[in-house]
Amino acid sequence: MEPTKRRDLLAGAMFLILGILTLAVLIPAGVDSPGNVEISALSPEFWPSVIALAVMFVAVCLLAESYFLKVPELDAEEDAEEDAMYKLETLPGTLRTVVLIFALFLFYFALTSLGVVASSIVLMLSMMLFFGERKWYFIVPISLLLPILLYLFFLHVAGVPMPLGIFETLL
Amino acid sequence: MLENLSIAFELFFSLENILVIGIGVLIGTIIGAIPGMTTPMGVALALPFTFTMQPVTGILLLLGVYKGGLYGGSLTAILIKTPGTPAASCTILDGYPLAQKGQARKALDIALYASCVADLISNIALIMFAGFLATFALRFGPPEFFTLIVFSLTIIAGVAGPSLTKGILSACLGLLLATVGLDLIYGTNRFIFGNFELMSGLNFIPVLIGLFAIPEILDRATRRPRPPGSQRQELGGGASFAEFRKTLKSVVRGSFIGVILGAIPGIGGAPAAFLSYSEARRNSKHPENFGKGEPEGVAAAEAGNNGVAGATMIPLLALGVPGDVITAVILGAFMIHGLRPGPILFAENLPMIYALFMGILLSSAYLFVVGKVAIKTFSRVALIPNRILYPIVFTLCVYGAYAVNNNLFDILVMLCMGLVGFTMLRLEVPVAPFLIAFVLGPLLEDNFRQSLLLSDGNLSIFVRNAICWLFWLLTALSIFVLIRSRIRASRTGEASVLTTGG
Repeated sequence: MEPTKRRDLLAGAMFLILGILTLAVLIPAGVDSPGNVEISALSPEFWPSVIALAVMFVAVCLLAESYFLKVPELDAEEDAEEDAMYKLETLPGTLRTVVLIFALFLFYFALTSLGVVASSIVLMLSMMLFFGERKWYFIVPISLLLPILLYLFFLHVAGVPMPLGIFETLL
Repeated sequence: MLENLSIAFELFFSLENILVIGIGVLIGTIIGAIPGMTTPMGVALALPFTFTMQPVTGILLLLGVYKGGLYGGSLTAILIKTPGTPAASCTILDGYPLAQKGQARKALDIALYASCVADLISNIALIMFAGFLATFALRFGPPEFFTLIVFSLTIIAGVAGPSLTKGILSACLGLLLATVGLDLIYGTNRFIFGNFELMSGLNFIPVLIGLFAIPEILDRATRRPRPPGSQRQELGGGASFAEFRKTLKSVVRGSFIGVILGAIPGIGGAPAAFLSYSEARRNSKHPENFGKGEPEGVAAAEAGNNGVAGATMIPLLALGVPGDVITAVILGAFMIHGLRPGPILFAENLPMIYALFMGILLSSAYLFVVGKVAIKTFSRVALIPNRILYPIVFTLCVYGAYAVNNNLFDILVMLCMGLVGFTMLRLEVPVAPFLIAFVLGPLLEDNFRQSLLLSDGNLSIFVRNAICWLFWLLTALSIFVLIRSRIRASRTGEASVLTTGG
């Protein structure tokens, strides 16, 4: 099976599951309905239910579409082979993405204690290294100055103090 | 009328406003020129900086970024064969060959002149038609608005990617997410699951930034950096007025194509550029020169691309319905300032609309000045490598998401939406319908329920008059056309020009 077909079938299946889950689990558990609704179409769960049903219906259409119709090619990857080589030479693509996602969520939890500025400095520095930048005279000034300048901009121009976490007491 | 104009003049005429448009165009041109940064991303990142500004000032800044972004994409398209924006990919066809012949300056000049003329025509179209459409839309009640939004979402879902079904699924996901928070009528909880941060619903800006900036960053982590096309050192002489005049017919045609396609929700710059280019080639005496460095090709592509800029504002201002992601962001900016575009805004706040029009007209002049400077100086900006650019973009995202409500939870929302956007990117599900449906979701549901309240639950209210019928017919027709073109695409293996981006 062509990869594009497999991808579309996967998308259809994921949306179908999402639609069923919404209708069967999320709406009953997450939508509070008042007891005395005169017109059923006005009740709080009506609109989400209609959307969930639409998701299920269209997901089935997508499954049928991907199964029976050919997927038109928009831009064929110009040099997929070189890309594959690149992925082998560096960390494999999926692993790099997982590492990056993990780092971004770790960054969020660091924010709560280290504050926005310090966490951003560390994250910018590590991200530049992760993406392959090696020139310290770019990495150090940019990752130090940008978060601090943005902090000052938001504090003085927009009147928004960014949280500084444990560094709050130092100022 | 005169009284309104004089109030509008007072609203508009301040040093701040006049400066801010120029700054917006400058930022937009730089962002547009940087491959890997799109105009919606630029407008989204600029949005948090407008919170403390006056409504007119903030919106003019965003409009400046929008217009600059549309033009900026052509700089790198011509110089290094790397389009800064999807719409500029059409400019490459003749712009890069011209640059390779040592006539880059000429191509850049023609692109700039065509962009400015198209922008001006588009702005005049906006001024002429928005008020007219708004007056007509005063007759709209909830059922008419409901059918109008359904029609707009169908078009957006259909043309945002190669598959209508994926577009609709994306829009449904956006509608579903928009239901999170307190119910509009009964005030009961929906999908809050005990988290009080969710009670007022998800904020639009973290969702927007998450969907449009984070997936790009995640995706680039897995991609090989592509070497740009070679740049010739000599730029050659600029274009003379006589040379530009030869292309004027194509520029005007392209501008009108841009205006018409721009006014229809969802279509955007890329299809307009390609259609304008193909029309210019079809009508040319020397169609064989197209693709080999024909200045008229550059002019036509840029005119189509920039012709949409004013026109996309027509449905936004007159009906309150954004046609693309950028106008959805501008709608967000209106809402942050407690304003709601649409016929009511025309009726109650006409001076503000006029002030915006004044600023929009001024933006065409700025585009010319900034463009002239840009050609000389910052074609090198585009050479910032992604490995430095993306960490900077991410930091801007974090600060922007936080500044909306001074709330760390919004950063978490942004990251989660980034994951959703990344999954959609991988599955090739377009994100534009998701975002626009998310913005329009509360309005759609509100109009649906108000209609039913008016009719005591009788569904026949949705076909109560000719306007409703017209929108239902247009919706059915667009679904029919989109399905037919999908089946055709399956047979020929080629996607239609309307689904190649935008």
